[in-house]
Amino acid sequence: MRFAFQRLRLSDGSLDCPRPLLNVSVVGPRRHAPALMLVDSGSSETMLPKRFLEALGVQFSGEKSEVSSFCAERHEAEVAAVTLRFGGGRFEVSTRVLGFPGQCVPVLGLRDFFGRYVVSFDAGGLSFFVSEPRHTRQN
Amino acid sequence: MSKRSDHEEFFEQAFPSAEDQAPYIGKVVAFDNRTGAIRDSADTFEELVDRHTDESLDGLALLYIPGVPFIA
Repeated sequence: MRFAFQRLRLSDGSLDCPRPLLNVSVVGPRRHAPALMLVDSGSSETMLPKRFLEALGVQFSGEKSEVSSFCAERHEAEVAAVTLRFGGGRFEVSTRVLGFPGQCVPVLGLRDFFGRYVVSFDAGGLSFFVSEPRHTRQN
Repeated sequence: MSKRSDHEEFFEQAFPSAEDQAPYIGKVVAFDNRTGAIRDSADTFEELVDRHTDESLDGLALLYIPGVPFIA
């Protein structure tokens, strides 16, 4: 399935470069809510704000994971499990997620999202593609 | 959703225009999936979840507009 890149406005009035933002329904035990998440092949983890996950009733496992940004700024995030739905309900995955301590752009990362789906980008065409793998992977 | 071929379905998703985003930089907005119109805003995702029910969030999408180019 193909999705369009989107552009965010910057504080100086210009537009950011087009981004692969995917509308994902984040399903917790108590609530579900739709969030635009960045499809980010540079992030090892799938990550959402911790308090957002708590508002959905998500329980954290107690496992913690230290993550760092591109600039080596370090944060301690907490591990949980959620279900993510997108593509009008066509795709659904139960996945590990990190609760980030503060506001952040939610991201879909390598470890779970890219490990689960075939993802490709056509930045020139301003679109990206997500599909089920054709063959079962064997590790 | 439109289907161009068996292998290429396009999922159509409205998005707020640059002009509509302008007053909400640094905020999280709830916008209409079909039109891109912004219906609500708050400082955080959890404020919007607490303010709405699952039903009132149906047809909306939550978007953080950081206002600066970001790396991830």
